[in-house]
Amino acid sequence: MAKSMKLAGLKSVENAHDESVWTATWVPATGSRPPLLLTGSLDETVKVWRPDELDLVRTNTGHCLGVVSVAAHPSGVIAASAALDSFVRVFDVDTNATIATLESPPSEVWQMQFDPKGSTLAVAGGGSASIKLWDTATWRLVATLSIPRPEGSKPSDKSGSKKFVLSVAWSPDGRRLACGSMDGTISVFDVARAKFLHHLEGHYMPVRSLVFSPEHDSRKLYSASDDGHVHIHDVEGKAIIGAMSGHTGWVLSVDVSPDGEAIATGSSDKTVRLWDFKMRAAIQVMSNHTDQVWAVAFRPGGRGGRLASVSDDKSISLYHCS
Amino acid sequence: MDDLSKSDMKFFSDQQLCFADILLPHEVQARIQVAVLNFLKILSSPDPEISDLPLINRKLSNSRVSEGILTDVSWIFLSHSFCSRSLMKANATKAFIRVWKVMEMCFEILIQDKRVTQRELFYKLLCDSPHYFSSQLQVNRTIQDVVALLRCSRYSLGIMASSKGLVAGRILLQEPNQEAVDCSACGSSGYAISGDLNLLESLIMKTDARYIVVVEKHAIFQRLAEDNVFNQIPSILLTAKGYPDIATRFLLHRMSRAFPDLPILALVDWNPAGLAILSTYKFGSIGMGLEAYRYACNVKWLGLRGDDLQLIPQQSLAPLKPRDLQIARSLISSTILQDNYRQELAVMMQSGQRAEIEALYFNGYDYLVKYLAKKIVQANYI
Repeated sequence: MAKSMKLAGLKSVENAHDESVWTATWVPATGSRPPLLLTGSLDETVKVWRPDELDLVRTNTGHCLGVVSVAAHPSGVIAASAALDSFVRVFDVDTNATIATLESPPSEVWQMQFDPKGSTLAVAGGGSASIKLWDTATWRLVATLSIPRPEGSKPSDKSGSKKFVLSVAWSPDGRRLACGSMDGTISVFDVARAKFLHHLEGHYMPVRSLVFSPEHDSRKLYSASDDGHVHIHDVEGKAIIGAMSGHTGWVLSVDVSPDGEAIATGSSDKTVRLWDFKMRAAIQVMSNHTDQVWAVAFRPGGRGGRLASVSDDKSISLYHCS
Repeated sequence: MDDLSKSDMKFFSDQQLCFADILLPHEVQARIQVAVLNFLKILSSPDPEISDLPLINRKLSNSRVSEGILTDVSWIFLSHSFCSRSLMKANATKAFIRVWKVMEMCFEILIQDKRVTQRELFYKLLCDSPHYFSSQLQVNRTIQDVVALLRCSRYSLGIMASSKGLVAGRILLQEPNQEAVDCSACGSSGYAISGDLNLLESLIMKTDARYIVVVEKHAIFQRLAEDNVFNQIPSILLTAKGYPDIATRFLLHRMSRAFPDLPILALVDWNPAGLAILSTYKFGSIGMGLEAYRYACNVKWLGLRGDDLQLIPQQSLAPLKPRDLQIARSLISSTILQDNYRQELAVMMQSGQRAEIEALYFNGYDYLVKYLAKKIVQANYI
């Protein structure tokens, strides 16, 4: 029987930010430096940390409101941060030089992710009920993938705001994009044809986090919702493969380990849970945070597994996974 | 017999010169188009082939020296030996493709009438072709390949130099349609030398200085600017904060042409790297040999030199590192180095020691200015 993954706390930084920490992502290693951790906070800053000691490398300022999302380019050279002021700032990770500033109408910038090749940045479009795609070489908006309006609604019907898009995820082969909305639906798009494929139903409350399982031709999508459950979907077949329950609050974030064996979630119930996909159950609960856990992130590759979690309690925690 | 033919070559060295043209955007676009058409022609011919890219060889073996016989400026240049990048060599296929990718990117940049820095080009290539580009060094090397292929300057390709250098002292610099900047009033940070060579070309310069002092290190430049040394000795201070970049060399060369009576004096550390920096200002470099020869200047070595060692304490001398010895060996093998420089280098290597300009502070923080003044007034430079 394969050994289950286990988490062990490595390091925590209290008061990592002056306010709640809302988002975290790992920046892949480059030829000249190992992976780094990026965190974004209500305090309007993005901070760069070096594992495993979580030494603060830099604090990036410049956003005018809280930072809702950070994303790293697969090369590890550049990254993007988005704030409530609906500006996305693209910057060089090592020098903090600004490469581009992407503007959008108010409340139309939420979670972001670079595609696996690094040629496109997908931004969840919030109130625009769409995903915006930006070309990374020229920083122009190249496509807007819109969620079709529900049948029977008039064009001026503001019920489209139910489709407020919060989260976005690329499939590992770059062919599919999934986004999660406030009303619990997940929309799947064919990227090459810029076409909406179908909805994935199941959740009835906001879907704040999505992630595909990491194998190259993966069709498996994990979704985390305020309804307290994690669903596992087959994006092509539209069926729910499974569901995992256990959190006693909203599930705010989900991430999958680089080997695809385990899933971690962060929740408003202040815990981080590690789930075994095969057993469909939580195999470990970490309770070191004293407030909602907004984001969890597995380090991609590197020696030994690492998981980071960030929370409303302003702290960052780093765990070792084995 | 050998010596005779060598001495003849001094007069005809220009015939061996291979250089990069400074071209207008549409001319560079035309060269890129010709490269593509030639490649396609051979590929679609009755006897098809994937042609190799012929690049001017940027190695020591293809470097030559032009000795300043009638002028006092010598320089290093490259001749017509080629190396090639081939798609057919197993480990070098990506390098071949990188050259085409950079040409494509430069073509687009020129069409849009823009200019980018090497770093910005790196970001674009990283996102456009992540499979082929993963580091800044790769991009820089590929740019030099394109320069060697198309024989046009890096700036003509639309790539701006970095803004690394600084100027301070008794010179007024005026950009067209702007106010003149008095570099003696810029404080210790000086006037930043733009990476845009066209802009540097258009600067109007006025000076009442009697000397130009090129400083190796930023910290020393700041110290001298703070102490207003240029008011005590009427001078212009210049630094590239280390190894000179093309923009700083370009501006220094312009100054040497505009004010030919001003001796150019270099203040570098007493180590092979310091002499290498001086040599680059003075002779140019092999790496950028197709362009750098244009900006060679008659720079004289003010300090630190062998006889200055008596002014600094024993304990401020440090041992030479392996890298220093490597640099020293390549300097010694270069035929362009004059005898008195060789002697200094020999003393360095024999003693196995190095010293930094900061060692002069042992005699007091104002000693550096006194040292500089004395040496200049005594014309103690080689």
